[in-house]
Formats: sequence, C-alpha cells, structure tokens
Amino acid sequence: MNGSELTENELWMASFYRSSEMNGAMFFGRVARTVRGPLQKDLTHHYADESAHAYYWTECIDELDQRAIPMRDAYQDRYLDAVGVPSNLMEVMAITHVLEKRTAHHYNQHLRRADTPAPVRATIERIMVDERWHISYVREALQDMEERYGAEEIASTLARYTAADVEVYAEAMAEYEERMAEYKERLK
Amino acid sequence: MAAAAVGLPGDPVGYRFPHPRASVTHTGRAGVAAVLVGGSAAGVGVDLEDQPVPPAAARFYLRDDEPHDDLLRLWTVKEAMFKADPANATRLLRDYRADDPAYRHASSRHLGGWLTVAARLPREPSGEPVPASTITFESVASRVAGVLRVPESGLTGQTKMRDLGADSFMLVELVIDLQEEFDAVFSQARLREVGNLGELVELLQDSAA
Repeated sequence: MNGSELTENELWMASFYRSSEMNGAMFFGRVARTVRGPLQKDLTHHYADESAHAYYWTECIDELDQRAIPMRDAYQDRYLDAVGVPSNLMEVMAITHVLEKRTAHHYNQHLRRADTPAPVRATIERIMVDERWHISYVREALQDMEERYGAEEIASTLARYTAADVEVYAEAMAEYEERMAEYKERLK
Repeated sequence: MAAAAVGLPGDPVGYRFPHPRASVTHTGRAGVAAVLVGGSAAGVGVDLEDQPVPPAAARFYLRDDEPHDDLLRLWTVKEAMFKADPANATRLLRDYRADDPAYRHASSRHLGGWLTVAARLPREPSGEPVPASTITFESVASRVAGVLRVPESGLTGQTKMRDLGADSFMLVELVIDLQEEFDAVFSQARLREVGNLGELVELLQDSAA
C-alpha cells in the first residue's frame, strides 16, 4: 500500500479500462491470427500491447491494495453494436483508428485531473506511449490500403465511424453521468 | 516404404501434416504409415494406441452424446479423423463425430491395442480434390467450420448465418479469414445481404480479385 487509495468511482473506471483493454486484446488476437499480409506483425504487436495494458491496470489496482471489479462491459462492445461488424480489413483498421484516437483523448483527459493517484497516472502515461504508436501504424496502414480499397472509400468509412464514435461516447458518458460527475467537476 | 511405393518422398521428416496423402503413427513397439493410392479422398489419417485410457480423459475427445464405451478404440478413431482432416488447425478431437458421414474409418485389434485408419471424403462424390484457393461451397464451409468450430458435415447452403452461434468478434475473424484466404474484398452493404452460407459463397465468388 502506498498511502493512496482509489475511490469507488476511480476503481470502477480503472476496472472498466482493464476490461476494455482485455476486450481489445481478444479482438486483435482474432484478427492477428487470421491476417496473412504485411500487417501480421503489427497486429500481433497490437494484440500483445492490449494484453499488457490490461495487466498494467490490474497491477495498478493491486498496488493500491485493491482488486479490479470483474466486468464484461467494454467500450468496444458498445461501438460494434452501433456500427455493425466490420466487413473487411480496411474497416477493421478504420474502426481501430477511431477507437485509438478516442482512447488517447480520454486518457489525456484523465491525466488532467490533479488528484489522480500516482499509480493511475503512471499507468496511463505508460499506456500512452503504446497508444501513440497504435495511431501511427494504423494511419500508415490505411494509407497503404488506398490502392486496394480506394482513398475515398477509406475517408468516408473513417467519417462514418467517427460520427458513430461521437454518439457512442456521448451515450457512454451520459450513462455513467453519476460516476463521471466527480471526474467532470475536477476537469473544470 | 509405403510412401516410396506411391511416389512420395520416403523420409517423412520433410512432410507437413496434415498431409493430403500420408499419415504416420507409432507406439513404443510399432509404427504404422498410411498413404492414399488414387481415389478422391481429401486426406488420410492413421492412429495406433496400446495403452488404456483413463475414463476421466474421455471428455477430451468424446462429446457428451457419444457412447462412452470402447474408449481406446474411439480415441484412435478421433485421432485418425483429426489427422485426415486437411483443415484441422483449429479443431479439437471433440469437434469430430465418429459417425460423421464425411469420413470413413476402420479399426482393428493390433498388439493388444487398436489401430484405426480414416479417410476424409470429398463432399462431391465425383469431384477431384479441391484446391484450397478455389471458391467452392466445400472450401468455404471448411473455413467456416474451422473458424467457428462447428461440424462441417452439418453445414449446407441453406444454413443461416445467425444459426452458427458466432459473436461479433468471431464474425470479424470469419470475414477477414475468408477474404484473406480467397483474396476478396467485401463491402458492408453486400455483407449485410448475406443470410445463409450459400449467399456467403456467392458473395466471395463475386468479390474475389
């Protein structure tokens, strides 16, 4: 125990992050073991990163002498429910691009909280290093896909998924208004 | 010797299994090789076991609705079917049914144990072995069964996608796998129109490069 402790809401958030990272790992595990082309290595790296992130959150919570709340809920589930199953590899990468940007944005917002416990802060900063690489390699992959899928098709897909993300994120935030009230208040 | 007799390399070290025409098995006392000579079977498998199977181990290779007697023989049947399946990479022994009409197998007593030889039959009775890259119902159904872990013998063109029991992650894996395997590109609009496996095969055929 290092003297600080997660509030009930912080523990819930950390557990939700952990669950979402685990979900991400399972998603990329399925894609990585299937893909044959040049993305195989990066997607496998991505899968490993998501697994590591889930462990970082577990480790962080454990360091605070607490236990993660078991949950099945994850952000990706809500997103796939809204946009449907991606129909090809380009759409998988487009969804990934949108979700990675959302994740980075959200983690950055969390870091702005002055009273974020040190282990939580350290965990987010550790994860953000990987998130930056994720956004970068996915963007490059989408550029490389222009010849096969068409630049316009990729752009319209990204626009469609971004619009959906705005709605899903807003709905998620509204749903967890009570939990996020403290979080939003501290951002002011 | 068996391999050399049908023109295959005599040293099995260089073989990759599942091999379309050969299978090997051994115990501490004996080794057996099986090779396909002519015919149109898609694969062959052989298994020899001579040690008793603990009843508790049956759950690893027998389904709940299969007979749980004759454990040693059934183990060799499942092992031989697995070896004969060209698309066994994602399968477990429990995924096979001893009475699956897509296979033929025969067992005999051997050195106090059981020896079974199995052959994977082609779906089309008169067909030649289907190249993996050819988009046929057979080749698509094989991949669907492998990814979703459902019995291939139960799949038909009328099998509804929603009846396959796949969650969204499994569906993602399936659509990516099919497009990677057959060099195709799906659009979401076309994919939404797919209601059964027959339509999925048509989509693949229309979408292939």
